[in-house]
Formats: sequence, C-alpha cells, structure tokens
Amino acid sequence: MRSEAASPLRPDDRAFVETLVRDLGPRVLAYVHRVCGDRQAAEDIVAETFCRAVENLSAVRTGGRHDLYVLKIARNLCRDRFRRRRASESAEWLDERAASGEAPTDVAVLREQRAAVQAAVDELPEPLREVVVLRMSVGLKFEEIAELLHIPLGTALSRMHAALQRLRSALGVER
Amino acid sequence: MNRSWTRACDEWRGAVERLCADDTAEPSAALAAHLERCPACRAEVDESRALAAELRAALRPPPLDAAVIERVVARAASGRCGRGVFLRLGRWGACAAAAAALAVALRPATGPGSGAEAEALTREAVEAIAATVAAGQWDASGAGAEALAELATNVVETLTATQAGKRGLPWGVEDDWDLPPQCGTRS
Ligand SMILES: [Zn+2]
Repeated sequence: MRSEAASPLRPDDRAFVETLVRDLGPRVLAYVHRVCGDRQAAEDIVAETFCRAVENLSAVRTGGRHDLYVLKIARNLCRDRFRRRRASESAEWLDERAASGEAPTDVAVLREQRAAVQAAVDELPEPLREVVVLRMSVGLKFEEIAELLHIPLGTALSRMHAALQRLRSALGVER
Repeated sequence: MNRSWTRACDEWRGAVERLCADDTAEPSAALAAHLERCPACRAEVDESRALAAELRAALRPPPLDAAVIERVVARAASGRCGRGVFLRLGRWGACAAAAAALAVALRPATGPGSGAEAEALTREAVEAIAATVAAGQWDASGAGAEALAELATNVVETLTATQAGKRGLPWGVEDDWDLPPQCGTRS
C-alpha cells in the first residue's frame, strides 16, 4: 500500500503499532463512541489518536501505562470536537458481534437487554457516563480513572455509585 | 430504596457505597460481618454487582474489523497527524478551502461577479481561512473546519450569483456542493 511505502516507521515499530491498535483500539473506539460522538467520527478520532501516539512512540513503548497515555490523547481530541455531541446513533454495531455465536432466541433477548442497558448508559449525564464507560468498557481501575480525569478517587467512586443508582431506576431493577 | 435499615447501617454507609461502586473491591472482615447480618445492605451490594455484570456484558467492545485496524495503522504510520487530511470535518474543510482558493484564482476579471463587493468578500474570506489555518484550529476542532466550509461557501455563492461568476468556477454550480466533495477528483 501507498502508506507502507511512505511509512516512516521501521518494520518492528509498525508491528508494535499494529499490536497496539489491535489490543487497545476496541477500547479506545468504545470510549470515543459512547462518550464523544457518532461511529464514523469515532473511527476518525481513534485513527488520529494512534497517529499522535506514534509521534511519541518511544514514550509509548517504554512507558508503563501506554493505555492511559493513548486514552488521554483520545480524550483530548474528543474534548476538542465532540464534547457536546450525544451518542445519538444506535449502538447496534457494538453488540451485534458481541451477541453472535449464541442461539437465535438468546441472541434476540440478549440484544434487547444489552440495547436497553446501552441506551440507559447513553442517557446518563456525561460525567457519570464517562466513568461508567472507562470502568466497564475500557476496564480501568478507579485509581486510573481518577488520574485520567484529574479527579479525586472518591469522586470517581461516587460518580459510579450515582450512575448505578440512576441506571437501576432507568432499567426498572428497583426492587 | 425501601429497606429495613439498622443503626449500624449508618456507620457502614460509606463502605457499602464504595463496595457497590467498585465491583472488584472486597469487603473488610468487619464489613463482611455486617453484610452477613444485614439483608438490606447485602441486597444493595448484590444488586449493584449484578448491574455491574450486566454493564460489562453490554459495554464490552467487540474486536475491530481488520479493515479498521488497517486504516488506523496506515494513518498512524503515515506520520501525518492533525493536518485535516483524514478527519472527516477536516477533510471537508480542506476541500472547501481548496475550492474557495480555486474559485478566487479563477474569478472572472470582468462582469457582475467580480464587483467590489465580491472582491472584498473573497479577500476577507481568504484572510479568514488563512488565519484559521495558521491558528491550527481546523484539524482538531470541528467548529474550525465548519467555519472554513462556511467561508468557502460564501465565496462560491457570491461568485455563482451571476453567469460570469459561474463561468469562472472550476465545476458546475449544480454539482454536489452540499455533499462532502471528493478532493482532487473533479476535472
Ligand atoms: Zn446494613
């Protein structure tokens, strides 16, 4: 491909970037999609995120937590562009493959349940939604969420607690 | 929540909420003892954990398509970040700016489309475009790119207001100006 010919990356660097994108890309995409904007724009932002990460590849390679570093870039790009935009698109693309491989009726039920959960998450105020996504989709620890968002650990935890209460009532699981 | 709280529950409130929020946290021995005795707090923790499991399942990101990985890696390997060549709005803005520049360059020397008003407007637009580009706002900010597109649209609209203006443009006026243009493909 043209891009390969023009690539300033050494082959082993390119292999590293490919692994990085494969491992971290889904989580960065999920974060950008759910917190920032529609899917097409999310893919663009993910691409730009990795482009910028690669500009500082040595830091990414040697740094302990390159996932946090990459997420920080993604978050800054999001803040610049799509902070106010709602995740208005249907979330089908996120669950269609997650539900595959199961029996058809199960898939239908699961899909419905997951769509309801996703829709409830999308309705959360952004500060709560961001914590939920970083925790449940990206898989960060609360200490890491606090660091990424520049908030105290207690705030990260209380946002999650508030989010769970809202979700519980939105999903009608108040018993 | 409609549950039978005990006075001890107040003391444990903070710890219980933390245990609800963090679905991987383990209770201390003392808290575990309270949960053992207190169905209300135990139910609250259990429900939160169940909801957390549902959230993890519903929000689990699927793997990226091979095509997406290829695009992202190619972009990352290109070494051309933040120049508006890939981001959708940036690309649209870039095309619009290029279109405006072409429109200005090909503006007819005579006729109503080249009046003082059009002259002033196009100069203003080009300066604004240059300033936006110089400020570096148009690759990272959708608003910057939209502003570029708007400026370019103004130039083109002014120039297409007359037959003379239309003749000066490098494409048919009815062509897909409202759609994101394919940069560099129009003859
Ligand atoms: Zn209790």
